[in-house]
Amino acid sequence: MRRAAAVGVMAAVVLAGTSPAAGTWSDAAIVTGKTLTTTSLTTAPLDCEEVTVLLANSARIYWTPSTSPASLVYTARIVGSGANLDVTDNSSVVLTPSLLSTLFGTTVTVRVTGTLPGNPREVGWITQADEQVAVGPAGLIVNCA
Amino acid sequence: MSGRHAAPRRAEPRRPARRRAASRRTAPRPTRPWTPVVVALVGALGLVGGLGTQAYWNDVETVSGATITSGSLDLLVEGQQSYTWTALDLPNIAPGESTAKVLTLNNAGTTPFTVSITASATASVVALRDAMRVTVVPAGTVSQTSAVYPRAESCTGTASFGPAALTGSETTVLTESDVIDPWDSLTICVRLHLDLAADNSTKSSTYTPTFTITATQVAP
Repeated sequence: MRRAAAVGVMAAVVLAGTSPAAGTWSDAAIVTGKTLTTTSLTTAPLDCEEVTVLLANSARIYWTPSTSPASLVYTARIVGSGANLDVTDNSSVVLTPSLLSTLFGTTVTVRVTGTLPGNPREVGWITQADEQVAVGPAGLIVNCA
Repeated sequence: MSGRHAAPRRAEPRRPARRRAASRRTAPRPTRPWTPVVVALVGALGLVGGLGTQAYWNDVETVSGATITSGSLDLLVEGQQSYTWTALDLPNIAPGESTAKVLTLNNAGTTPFTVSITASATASVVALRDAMRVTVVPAGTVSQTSAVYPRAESCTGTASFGPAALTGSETTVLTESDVIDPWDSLTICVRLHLDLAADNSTKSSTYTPTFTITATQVAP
C-alpha cells in the first residue's frame, strides 16, 4: 500500500511539473511587406552618320546616354567577331575602314550595351541596341546600312 | 320502509366463563401479534426524537470570492494585430540599392513575452527573390547613406539574420528576442538590398516579403 501511494504522489508531482510548460501562452501577428517593384533600364536608340576621317569614309554611331536610374556606362562591340570598339564620351563609336578591313564587302552589326555603374557586365542588368553598317569593296568605305 | 327485512341474527351459544379461563391458562401465549406494535412504537419514538433534533437552529452564510480575471498576452505590430508594412519600400529599386525600416512590436497584454520571427518571400521571378538580400536587426535603427543612386539605407546593430535571401518557405530570422515587458516595445530593423549582380531577368519584377511574429509567454 505504501509503495502504491508513493508512486501516485510521484506521478502527481511529475504532472504538476510539466503542466506549466504545456500551458504557455502565445500570440502571433502577420506582417506583410509592401510589394517592391524593380525598375528597368532605358534603351538608348542608336543613330548612324557617315563621316570622313583621313579621306576615308567612316560611320559614326551615336546615342544619348540614359540617366535612369543612373548614368549608364556604355560599351560597344562588333557582333560575331566580338571586337571591342572605343566609346567616345560614353555616347558614340566610329567605325573606320581600317578597323573593318577584314570585313569588307559585308554588313556588320554593332551592339551597344549600357550597364549600371559598377555593375558586373556578365551577370548584371544591361540594355542593348544594335546598329548595322555596310563595309564597301576592299574595306575602303563604311556606310550606315 | 323498503319492505326488506333483516334476517334474524343467529345467537351464538355463550361459552361458559370457566371454560374460557381454563383455555387461557392452557393455550400458548400469542406473542407475534404484539411485535409490529412494539416496532411501531419504537419508530414513533424515534421520529419524535428526530423531530427534536431537526428543530435545532442553524444558519448558513454564503461567502462570494473575489472574481479572478486571468491575465492576457497580446502582441501588437505598430498597434495592430496584423500589419501591412507599406513603409518598407523603395520605388523602382535597382541593383545595388537598399531600403531599411523599423517595425515596432508592442506588448499590449499583462504577461512578459519574447518574440521569434520567421520570414518568407514571393517574387514574380525566382531570380529576384534570390538576389534580394534581407537583414534583420533586433533593436536596430535606420541610417541613410545615400538618397541618389545607388540609394542606400542600412540598419545599425547586430543582425540576427542576413544579409541573405529568403525563400518561399518560412525561414527563422530571429530565434528569440529579449523579454518584452507589459506595455513595453521592441523595434526590429529590416533591410532589403538588391544585389548589384541581380540577373537581367529581374528587371520590372515584383517582390513581397512576409514576416510571422510569434510572442511566447516568459515562464514565471
